[in-house]
Amino acid sequence: MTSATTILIVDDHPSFRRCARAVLEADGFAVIGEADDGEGAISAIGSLQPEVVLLDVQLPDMDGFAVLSRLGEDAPSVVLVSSREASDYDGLISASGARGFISKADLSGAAVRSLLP
Amino acid sequence: MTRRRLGAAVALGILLYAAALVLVLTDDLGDRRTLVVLVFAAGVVFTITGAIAAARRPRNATGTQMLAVGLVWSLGSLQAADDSFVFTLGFALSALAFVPFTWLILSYPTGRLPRDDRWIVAAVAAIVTLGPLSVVLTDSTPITGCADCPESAFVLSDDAGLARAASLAYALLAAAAALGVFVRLVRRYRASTPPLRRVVGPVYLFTLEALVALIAGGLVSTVSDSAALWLEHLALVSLALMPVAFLAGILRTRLARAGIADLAIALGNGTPLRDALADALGDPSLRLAYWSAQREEWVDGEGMTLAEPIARGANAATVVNHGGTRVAALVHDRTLAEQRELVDAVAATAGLAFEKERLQAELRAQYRFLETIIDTAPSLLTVVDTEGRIRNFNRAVEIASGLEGRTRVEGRHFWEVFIDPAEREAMIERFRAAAPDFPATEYENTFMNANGQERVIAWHSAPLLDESGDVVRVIAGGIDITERKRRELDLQRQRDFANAVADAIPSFIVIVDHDGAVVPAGANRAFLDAFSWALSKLEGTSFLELVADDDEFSARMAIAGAANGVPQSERESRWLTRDDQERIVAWTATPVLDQRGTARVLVSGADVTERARQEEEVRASRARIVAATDAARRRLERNLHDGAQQRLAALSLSLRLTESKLPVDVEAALESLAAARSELAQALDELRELARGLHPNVLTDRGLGPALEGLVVRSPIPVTIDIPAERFPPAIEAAAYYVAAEALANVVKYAQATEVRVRISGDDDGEVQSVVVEVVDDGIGGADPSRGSGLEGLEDRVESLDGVLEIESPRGGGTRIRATIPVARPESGPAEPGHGNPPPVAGPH
Repeated sequence: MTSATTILIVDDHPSFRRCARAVLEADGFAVIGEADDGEGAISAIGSLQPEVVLLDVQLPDMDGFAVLSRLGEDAPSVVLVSSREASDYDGLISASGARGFISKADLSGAAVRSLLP
Repeated sequence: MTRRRLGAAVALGILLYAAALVLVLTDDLGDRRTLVVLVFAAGVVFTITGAIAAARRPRNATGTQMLAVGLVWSLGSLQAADDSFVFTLGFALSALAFVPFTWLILSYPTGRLPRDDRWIVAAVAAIVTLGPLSVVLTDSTPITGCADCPESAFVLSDDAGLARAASLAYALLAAAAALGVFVRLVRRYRASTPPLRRVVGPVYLFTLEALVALIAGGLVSTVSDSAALWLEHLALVSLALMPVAFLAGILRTRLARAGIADLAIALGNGTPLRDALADALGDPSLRLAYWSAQREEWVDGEGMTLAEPIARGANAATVVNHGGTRVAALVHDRTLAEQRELVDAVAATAGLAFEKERLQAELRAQYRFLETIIDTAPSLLTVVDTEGRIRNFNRAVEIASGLEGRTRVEGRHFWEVFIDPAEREAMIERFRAAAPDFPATEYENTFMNANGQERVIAWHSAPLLDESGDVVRVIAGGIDITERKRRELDLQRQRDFANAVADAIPSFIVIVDHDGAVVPAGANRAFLDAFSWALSKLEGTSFLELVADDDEFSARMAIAGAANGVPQSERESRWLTRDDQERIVAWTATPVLDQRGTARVLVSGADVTERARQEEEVRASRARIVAATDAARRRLERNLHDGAQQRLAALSLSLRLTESKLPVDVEAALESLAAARSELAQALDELRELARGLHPNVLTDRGLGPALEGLVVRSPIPVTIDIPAERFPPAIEAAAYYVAAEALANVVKYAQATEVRVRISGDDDGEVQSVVVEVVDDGIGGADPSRGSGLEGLEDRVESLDGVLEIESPRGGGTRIRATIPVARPESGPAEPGHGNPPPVAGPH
């Protein structure tokens, strides 16, 4: 059995982070950390080196696209999430370098995995 | 007649009369000798006097005519011949001389035969040609009673009856012709002027006498030969003497010259010039005209203008020059024109006297001219003596004083005529103080004239000196300026009225010249007050300096446009007060003429600073409303996103997890369901709060009290409220609610207060019914609406209902917010538009 894929959850709402951890762990992801803002996310990516980052678009200090632009070449796969629709960010998502976008209500391990290589 | 012709005629005369003399001397004339000698003498006299007259007055045909008479007369001498043929020829031609004689007598004294008299000459010519011829053809002894005379050489019939008839016919016709001439001469004499009568009188007398004698002789010869002969002698003597009369008339000039010496003496004796000249020229009708070089017209001795031409009818004018210039003219009888030499000699003798008289006449003419000017001039002219009595005055004085008639003014003191009683004493004193020099002065006085009319006269007076330099009279010239004064007064009233209006109106009025410089007294009271200028300082200042830099170009263009006559449309500029405060003025520039007619630019404007400020406030208020609306929308979106949406997303995940756990791990699923219920409950709470924030439903349904109680319940700081149960229009209730809610939210956020009091009350001052909302806390104070605490939004809301929001928030002294919102009367009101609709602005933060 291969080891579980490591994932970092970045969202400023604790209740969502809590639910997302439960859902992703239940679907076999290893949640190795959480961050509640952009700076926190960049710092956690550097220190925890997750394979996947579940990144909320709307963060208190900067948005998810700004976080993506600050990640280097060897950045992990990033999946954007938001309580809004993907159509609200049409164009921004494809240009951001993220693997894809999942609406928060539709989050599941399968949905994340389907976006990974 | 030329000298040569005259010489030839004289030579011919000498020849003829020499021949006649030979005949007379050689022939035996017997009884006829006396007659023949008389005939001969008469012919010689005519010839000689005719030659003298023609030589002396070559231009007058009289001499020539006399000469002709003398020459033709000589033919009659042929009758003296013994030879029958010569005698008969002489008889036939003997009367031919009456043709030039008739011509001579009817032409005298001018020498020109009047056209009307030509037929007489022709008739005479026919009679004196045919008459003697008929006699010699019928009568063998044509000269009745002449025994020595030869017989007619031409006789055709010796019938004594026929001869008698021919002789009678000839005599009657001759008598008729003589009568015709006679009548003509009498008429002419009667129509003549005295000088002419003097000239023609003797000639006519001799002629008439000769004619009468001849006619009588002719008629008598048929009865008595001796009487006829006697009458014939008489006629011949008359004829022989007649040339002397002619000569006397023609040469009268020569004789009259003797009178010139008398003229000089008469002038020396002081005889009036005209009388002396009339005597010298023998023309009592003589008039004199003097040439006024100054006026270039003829005047009489009194200086009165004479109508042109000065000579008319029977008169002729002879112009007299003295020293090469025209001085006068003699208007005399036309016949004197024939005596040019006499007139010229008289004129030359009296030349100096003419010049003197002319100067006097001119002086009189000038005097009359001046008198006319003075009397027709509208100016008043008076001459007063040193006692102040009016000695002379013109017509204008009578008119202005209302005292018509010279006697009503003359001799009165001028102050009785021109000075009102109230000022009279002062005038008399001034007049006496001016004595004895009476220096030239000017003054203006108003008086009531005799007709009760008020007159205003501007006087100039100057002294009139005698030869020793003493003042003898004072001349005062006045102009009646009553009308001018009245117009000036009218104009002044109009000006005062315009100035009063200009100073009373709140608009600004500034008058500038073409360069924009303010003209003297060129601003009204409103401008001076509003812009803190003194009129004296403002004069000459450029209007452009009174305008803010940014608006200077526009103002310059407006002034230049108006200076070119183009009225400018209204514009708004910032004008500067003396202490550089800006006022916004809506103004125009209009071309005008000032009272002197100089082109100016009228700048008139109204202070719209307050209006502009209010407009700006309205604009800002609108912008704030939009901004507040936008902020409210953003806040709502954020709240939904951060609150209910996150909860519902988490709830969705929890349910998904529960779903996945349910058959595997019931305990975990139950735990997840509990979490989900908790999320759902919180989501509901947040949505409810959000909805309440948009608009408290309870306010619409239950009014201010219950709505505010909800706020109080949720407030972390104790709140006491005092709210009436009364309902107000929805917009007012909404405004009151949001004032209280915003104030409470601020208290919670910033005031650090321990308690808050909210009081809403109705207020009715008798005129306006209002709702007053008061929120008072005991916090730290220092609230500032401009800091974006939401108070500004409340201000807009309250002011939109014509209400007032007052904030008292001294630092450390708590905060009192008081909104007074007028309640509309039933008929109209500011609150009406919002009735029934939710408020346009979102609620508190």
